[in-house]
This record gives sequence, C-alpha cells and structure tokens, in this order.
Amino acid sequence: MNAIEVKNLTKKFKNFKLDNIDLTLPSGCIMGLIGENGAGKSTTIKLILDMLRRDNSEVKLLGRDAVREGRAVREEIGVVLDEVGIPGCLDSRKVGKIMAGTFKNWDDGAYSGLIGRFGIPKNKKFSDLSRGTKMKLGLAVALSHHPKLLILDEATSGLDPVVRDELIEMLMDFTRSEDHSILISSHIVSDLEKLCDYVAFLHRGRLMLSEEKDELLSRYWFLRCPVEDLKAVDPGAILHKKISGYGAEAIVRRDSVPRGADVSPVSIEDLFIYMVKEAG
Amino acid sequence: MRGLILKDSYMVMRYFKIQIAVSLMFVVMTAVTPWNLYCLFFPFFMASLIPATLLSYDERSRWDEYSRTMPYSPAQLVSVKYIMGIISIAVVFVAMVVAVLVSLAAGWAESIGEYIVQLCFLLFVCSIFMSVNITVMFWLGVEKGRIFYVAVVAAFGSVMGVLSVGNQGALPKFLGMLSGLRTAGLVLIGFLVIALSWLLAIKLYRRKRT
Repeated sequence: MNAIEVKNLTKKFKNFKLDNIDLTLPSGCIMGLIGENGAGKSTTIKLILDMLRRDNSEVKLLGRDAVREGRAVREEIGVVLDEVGIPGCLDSRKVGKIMAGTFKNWDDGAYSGLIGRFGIPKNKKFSDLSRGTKMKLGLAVALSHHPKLLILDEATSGLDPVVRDELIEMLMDFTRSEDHSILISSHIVSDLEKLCDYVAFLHRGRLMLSEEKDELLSRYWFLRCPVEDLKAVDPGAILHKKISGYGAEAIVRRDSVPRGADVSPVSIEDLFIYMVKEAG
Repeated sequence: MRGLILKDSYMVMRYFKIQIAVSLMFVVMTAVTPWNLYCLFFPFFMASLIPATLLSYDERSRWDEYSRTMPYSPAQLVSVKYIMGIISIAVVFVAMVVAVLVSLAAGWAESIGEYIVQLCFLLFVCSIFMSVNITVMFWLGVEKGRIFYVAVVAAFGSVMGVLSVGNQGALPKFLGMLSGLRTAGLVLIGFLVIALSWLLAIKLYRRKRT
C-alpha cells in the first residue's frame, strides 16, 4: 500500500500556481520534499492534508480518500507544522489533556514517555520554550496517537545542528516499523539526504522530479575535466555544467562519462541546486 | 470536540482573568445598585466578546491551522466558539439573576419582573453582538472582522444615543415595544439569530479554506 498517492495536485493563487503535482510515497518509506523558500512545499502539504481546497486532484492517504474520509484519516496521521501551532499559554501537561480529548488512539503513557525522553518541562508555557523544544513537543504530540504517517513541514529549520540531529534520529526510530511513513519538507537538503528514501524537488510550484534517492544518486557523477574533454560527452547527458579558467565541472549521467575521468559522487544538494539553476 | 472545549477553557482561564474579575465586580455592583444599567450591560458585553478574542488568539498562535490537521470537522471547529460564547453569556445571565435576587432580598430592588425584562433584553443584544462578531470574523478574518464589529457596536451605540438624547421618549418607547414582544419572544429571536449565524459561519469557514 502507498502511504501517499497524489495525482494532478493543482492550486491557483493570484501570484502563484502549484501545477499538476504527482507524488507517490510507498508505505514504510521517507520522502523529502525539497524546494527553495516559496517553492510551494507548505502549500503542497496543506493541500494533501485538505487544509486548503484543491482546484483539481486526487489525494489518497494510507489508501483512503483524504477528503471524503478526512477525519478518519487524520486519526492516523501525525503532523508537525513549522510554527507547531500550540497556544503560548499551554504547558505540555495541558497539551496532553487536550490531545487526549482529540485523538481516539491517544496514549497518555507514550506521551509522558516522549516528554521525559525529549526533556520537555511539564509546567513551562509553550511560549517560553526554545524553538527546538517546541518542535520536540510538536513531535511528541504527533507520535502519541500511534500514527502510521508523519507529515512534517520545515520541522528542522531554525534548529541548531545538535537538535536537528536528535530530531532526525527520532524520525529514523519511527520508521523502524514497516508500516510507518514520513513526508518531510525542508530547504535544508543535507538533513533530508541523511533521512530519506525518496526525494521530490519542487521549484516555483512545479515538481521537477520525484524518485528514489539511491537510484537518482547512482545515475549521475560529478565530473571535473578540461573543457575540451567535456565536449566529448553527449550534451544530452549533461545535467549542468560550469566552465571556468580552471576547467569544467559538470553533473553528467554515469553511462556517458569517459573512461579515466576525474569523477566523484554527486549529492542531492548538488543535484537540486543545479536543476534549479537550469530551470531558471 | 472535548479537546477543543478544554483548550478554549484553558485559554479563557489564562487570558480573561482580568475581564472575569471586573465582570464579577459589576455583578456585585448590580446587587447593590440594581438600577444601574451599565453594571448590568458590561459583563454581558465582555462575555459576548470572548469567542472573537479566542479566534484572534488562535490565529496568532497558528492553532487555527494546526487544528485543521486534527480529526475535527469544520462544523466542530466553528461550533466550539459558539459553545464558549453561549456558556459565557449563560454564566453572566445566571450571575445577574442571583445578583438581582440578592438585591430584592436586601430591599435594594423593588420588583424582579422589571429586571428580568432588562436581563432578557441584554441577552438578546449580546446574542446579536456575538453572532455578528463571530460570523464576520469567519468571513473577513480576525483583523478586518474586529474593525467591522467596532463599527457595528458604534452604530448601535449611536442609534441608542440618538433615541435617548434627541427625543426623551424614544428609548423607553423602543424598550417598551421590545417588551411588548414578550420577553420570551425576544430571547427566542436572539437564539434564532445565533442559530442562523452558526450555520452561516460553518459555511463561511468551509469557503475560507480556498
């Protein structure tokens, strides 16, 4: 079963259009939604969650229609938004009571365990917590009703590297179970590179690619060579090139690289940056 | 739904401490000076503002977005504000009735009938205020909605002012006309306005998602 199936996701605003997005996230996998600021990541997530009305599309979450069966589906989804959304006057204890009255599967024991594990103060107001602790509280809420799908919108942005690493570890723990999946958006590509099985690149409201990370990385090399040597490479195999006085640098398809060339593995960040630059 | 009501109750206890204390003071003052209409009006007015203020806090903390990721229907997300408003107004009404009864027992007030009419009139006015306020906020958003609401209250105050200052007999006549509707009728109209605005607000909320 697929955790997320999105077909022709479209939404038109005055100055922005999210255009025909197709995404598929198999169950048990993690997908990173990568895009620059304003690319449409949050809009995509809001549309998937039916927080915004779509112009056109079909969205299935955990095999069920996200609109018709929205309430039942949301029982099985944990969401962390970039600002979390918990009112500033509430402490973690009150948040737990509110969520116990919200989710049918709420597990007080699991929540208390996560609050302890994450080191979240029980009596401190949400507005007095650091951004990292706010995110951890958001994640504790998202995990305490035993969701099968986690959706995180820019959950790692603005966090220091140590907290980001902790969050990533928690997410990895979550996907140890085979039927647990994650959709996470970020513009910090390095975080997603560590975590994801699938990547989707969004640029100016359009989906540039959506595929398995390892397959994508195995298809390209980062090539450094004299300018003359680059001319021997099939132009159709060059994803991006940069020519300077020191020679040429290019991202090329692996099967087109000349023997003995100076190549190195390409990163998701390189691929994303170069694809965005090519797209203009 | 239980979670939403609990959350709004926590917010009321946290953010409305001063308003609750001041309203309580006015309830006590009503018992002592039952002829003072302002003391009667103020707690009702504060209670009718609670739902809109809660909406504004929700928007500020982004709870309005977060709650849409939870297993709540649009009708539930709207209804909780009406429920909080109705509970607040009902609490004030009961407190005021108790205050008037205390006043009667102490001999400060003469007959309960007159006060019941006034309380029902205030119930009617606050129902209209609250309904307009919530509906407009779900329609225009919190900021624009607040401006619209102030304009409505100002217009209401001006009409009342003109009726009472311009022509000495107009306001009592108007109140007399309303009491002629029978007190129960007035309260029923108030409830009907709340019900209609409730349905409209749910519709507007669904449309706002665009």
